Amino acid sequence: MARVWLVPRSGEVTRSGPHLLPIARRWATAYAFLVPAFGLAIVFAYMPVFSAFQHAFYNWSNYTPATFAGIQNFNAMLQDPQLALAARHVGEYAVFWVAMDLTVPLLLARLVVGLRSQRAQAIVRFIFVLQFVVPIVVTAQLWGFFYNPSDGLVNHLLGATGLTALERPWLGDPRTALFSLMFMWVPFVDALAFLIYTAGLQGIQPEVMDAAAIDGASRLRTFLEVELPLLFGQIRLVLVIAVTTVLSNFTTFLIMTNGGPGNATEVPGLVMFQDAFFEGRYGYGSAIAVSLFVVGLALTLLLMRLFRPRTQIS
Amino acid sequence: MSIGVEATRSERVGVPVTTNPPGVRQRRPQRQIPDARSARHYPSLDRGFGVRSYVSAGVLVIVAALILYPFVFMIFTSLKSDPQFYKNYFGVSLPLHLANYGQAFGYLWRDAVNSTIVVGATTVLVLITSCLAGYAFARLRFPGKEPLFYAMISLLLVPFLLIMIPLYVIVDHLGLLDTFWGLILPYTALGQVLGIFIMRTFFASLPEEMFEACRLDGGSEVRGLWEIAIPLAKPALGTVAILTVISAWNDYIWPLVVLTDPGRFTLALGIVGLSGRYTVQFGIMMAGYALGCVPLAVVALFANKTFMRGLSRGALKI
Repeated sequence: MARVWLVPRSGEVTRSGPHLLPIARRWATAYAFLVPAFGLAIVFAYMPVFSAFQHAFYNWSNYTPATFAGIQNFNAMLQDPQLALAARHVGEYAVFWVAMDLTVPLLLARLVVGLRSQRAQAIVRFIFVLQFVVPIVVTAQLWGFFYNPSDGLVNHLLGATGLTALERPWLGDPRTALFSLMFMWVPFVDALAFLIYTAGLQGIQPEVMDAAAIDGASRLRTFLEVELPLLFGQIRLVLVIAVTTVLSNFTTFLIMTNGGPGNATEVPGLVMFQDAFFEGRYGYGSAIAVSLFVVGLALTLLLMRLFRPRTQIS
Repeated sequence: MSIGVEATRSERVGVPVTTNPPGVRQRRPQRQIPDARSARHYPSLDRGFGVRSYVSAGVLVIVAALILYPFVFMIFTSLKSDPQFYKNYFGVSLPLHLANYGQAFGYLWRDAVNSTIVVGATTVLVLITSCLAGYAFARLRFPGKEPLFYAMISLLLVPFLLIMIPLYVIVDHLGLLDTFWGLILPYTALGQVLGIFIMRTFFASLPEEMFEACRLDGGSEVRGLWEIAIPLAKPALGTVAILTVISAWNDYIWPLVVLTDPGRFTLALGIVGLSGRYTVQFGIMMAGYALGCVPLAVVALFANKTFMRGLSRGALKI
């Protein structure tokens, strides 16, 4: 690498002596352009990443200086019952989210792609702008109110339709709390997934569909055997985003239940947040965060491998 | 990874694909990127999914209604006084009780201003660093260009959860806890990654001749950037700005951790505080939530085109 550094690339002036100066000045300009971005990135991005990996192996709290602790944090993690429960919950939530992302947005995108009217297109656009414009805290607070046992919309709707027996304290009952945090996303159309699928479907060449029609394939078969394989790239992208988001996002869990009642809605991200910022266990929290990151990375690599986009139809 | 997946096609028009031996690759045709607005390029896709188009439209309307109803209820309730709310739960109550909005506004306006300051500063900084770094990566030659670029892009892999704790400690050591800079600087550091990627892609697409003329005139690279590249980059800049605004505006966890003085709270914190402040005065709370949606809605209305392009660019970025 050092050799390459000293040799000007082709196209640059290849003379020695004072003529090297313009090149050096050009390099200096380039590095100067990079200084703001990398300066900020080093302090607020790279250093925290290294610090997280490092301090996962340390006893570190906000009172005591960090002391090396080996894999003590990771051992503690494996024996932490709250974390084990949280891991189960995030697993259930991930299964739900993946199932949702693979069905509703995909089917809806397929339905919508064939529509011609401008009004339908406008409705679609409006729906999805809406979902991106509403802050997550508003959705969380709104549904927190909807689940209110006495004044909330859900119980009032149940009562109004005669299903009074189904009324319950949705967020206060350990049996229904996690389910309620899943149901709040009704009608389960992930706007981002929908956008990605729509773009993918619109990228399918008409000749392919025509060929399938000529071959007499039913529409269902066409969908399953022609369109879906061609969407593998999009499906893979949606799944990767889904998995990484579910693993780290805990905002709704924090705002709506704070992991309760009891530990019924704890997720690892929330456990990390609580242990780090309310109990000051920075080292332990870092260990949790690092583990979540590694799991996410592993799942991402697995998904990339499983869903290689096909490039030909045979 | 590529998003658009090419399909194969027989070289002879009209011959179905299946007459070719399986596994034999055909030459890929020139692909026309379809106009997203009209489905008339897809006569076959028009067949829909085996259902008539009005059934599809009906499903769409049902989905839209389900998405909208919570917000409709929110608006209705926000216009009710407490007695009106308890008397008429589902419908509209007249007279409309606009005082709720006054109260909610009085509670939230300070937070909204704080959010605007933080997000505005973040966006400006992100645009600056993205343009500079994106330009350098796109058009300048220097040692270590590739590794540095990949190092920057790799930050996209990092979830915020991973760095939250050490970042808090670093911000503390810098004395930036409970300040706006404690929000702005990390937001910029993380938001600029996507911005650099977008600006680099854009700048790389500009033809070299434009910059040749500037260099021949003896202009520096800075001049080339400022006078040539940036004026052309308005759509890309808009995209970067929109993406930055959306992600910074809605963030709740980091301001929660960094800020302790309620006078500095951002809008996200304020919105969550509504339920604690007004407990059972649901009308005021709903009004607050409605107000919380307004800023981004305004942004969306005024930047509709850039907004949609920014959303799809952000979604299809990889």
